[in-house]
Amino acid sequence: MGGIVEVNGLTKTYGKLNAVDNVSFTLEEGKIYGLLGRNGAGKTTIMHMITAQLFATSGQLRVFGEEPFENDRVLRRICFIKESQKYPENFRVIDVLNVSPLFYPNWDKELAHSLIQDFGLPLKRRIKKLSRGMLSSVGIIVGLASRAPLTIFDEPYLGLDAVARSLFYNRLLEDYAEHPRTIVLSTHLIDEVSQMLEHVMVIDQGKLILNEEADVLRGRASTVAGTAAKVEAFLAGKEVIHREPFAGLMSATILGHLNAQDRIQATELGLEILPVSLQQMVVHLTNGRSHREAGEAR
Amino acid sequence: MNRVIGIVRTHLADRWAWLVLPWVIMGMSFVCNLIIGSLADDKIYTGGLASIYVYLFVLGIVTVGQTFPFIIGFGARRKDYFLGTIASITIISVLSAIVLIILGYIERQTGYWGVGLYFFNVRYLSDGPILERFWVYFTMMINLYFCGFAISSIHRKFGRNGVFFFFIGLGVVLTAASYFISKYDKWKAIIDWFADLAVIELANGLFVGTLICILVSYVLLRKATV
Repeated sequence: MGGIVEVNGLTKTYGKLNAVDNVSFTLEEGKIYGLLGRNGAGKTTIMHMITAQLFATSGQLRVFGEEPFENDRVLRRICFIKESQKYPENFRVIDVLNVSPLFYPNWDKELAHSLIQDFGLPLKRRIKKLSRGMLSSVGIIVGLASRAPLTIFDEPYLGLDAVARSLFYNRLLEDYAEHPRTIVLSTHLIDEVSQMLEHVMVIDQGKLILNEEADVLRGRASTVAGTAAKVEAFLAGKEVIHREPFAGLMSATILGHLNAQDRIQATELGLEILPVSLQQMVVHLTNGRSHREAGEAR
Repeated sequence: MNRVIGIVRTHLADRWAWLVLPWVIMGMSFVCNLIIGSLADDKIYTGGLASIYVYLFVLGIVTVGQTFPFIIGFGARRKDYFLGTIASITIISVLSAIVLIILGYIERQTGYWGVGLYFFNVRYLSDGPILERFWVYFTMMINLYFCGFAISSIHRKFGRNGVFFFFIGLGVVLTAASYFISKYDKWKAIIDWFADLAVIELANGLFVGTLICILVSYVLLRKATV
């Protein structure tokens, strides 16, 4: 199966700032991707370029094998739900639902209306009178009901409470199981989505610093804890992404798979090895102290 | 083609802005004039009809800001947005021009609303035969709409400063023009030229101007971002 999105050396500069810096990746059909990173890392910019709403400074971009700009064959197969989506002043919730099928050929009206029920949205209310959370759920409903072959959710749940968020995850997985498609989730609520993601990409300061299958990633990082001297001895020759000394003790996070020998050594030294959550790993990778690019340390 | 129809329907989904408000505004102007007309003994020639045209200019300005980010965000091509917008305002202008002609007819049949109010029969503009009247009403509407639309497109592409510079530039050009006209003593010639202009010639000129506005807006929006 070929990639439905192929990005090669994509760069976007604003004056001297590299908002997106030489990013390359491929998205395959029928997977759930997580695009993770801090605010301002360049996630939204990348997604805007994929959907031809922003123009790349340099680099190649192919979506469904074609150039997306002004290309209806490509654009009608994408649904991009962004936190900053604007709606016309006088539009009500019902107006958005009425016009959506004009843009998304796979629109499922029944699904949209059952989601409206679930999220408890008032159909006749004007969009601009909705609360932040309700506005987010409008985007989520459009994104799910569009059933677009490439559906991108950019920070879809600003202001949504935990109940509504878990509703979103459940409905997304349910519908994904019945109608497989490619989904990109960009978020900072990493722990909540980490179980859903099949592939993880981490963007930091415009660079792609991690691009890995989620399963591979889960065993990729571990935390070692013990007395400082012993931990340091164990760390020799390994890629350390985080060190946290505490009195005479230390805990350190290592990137890279630990083999049997490593584990025996750790036991001999009396060190404790703990798994690292995806969120912790991303925090350590993007806290500004480690500099790496995707493809290193493989 | 389906996409263009979709965009027309998206525009017209805002019925209030496209179908109701222009007539509410003109209706208010009409009612005011009717009251004045009933109080005064003389015939009243009013420019109240201009209200609907001013509204269309405003609608043109508002359209880009309201619908461009929404429709592009929903994955439409810029070209389709454009064609859909042209189709929408054409439909609205054709219907409005017909309604204005009918209202003009009613006005004449009712003895100018019984009070001598010339609201829909404006000298010069509605003197010609019916098709000519239609063309004049129609071109003025799309012209004003796209003047607003073009200004708003400058804003979309170049931001607030772009609009400032545009108007500064326009001011400079007009000042220079008026200086040279005065210097070579051409004011009278120009005013005479306008005075001699037949309304149909004016309408045709406006139509050409509209096409230029459309072209400029398209060039601007083609590379505008959301």
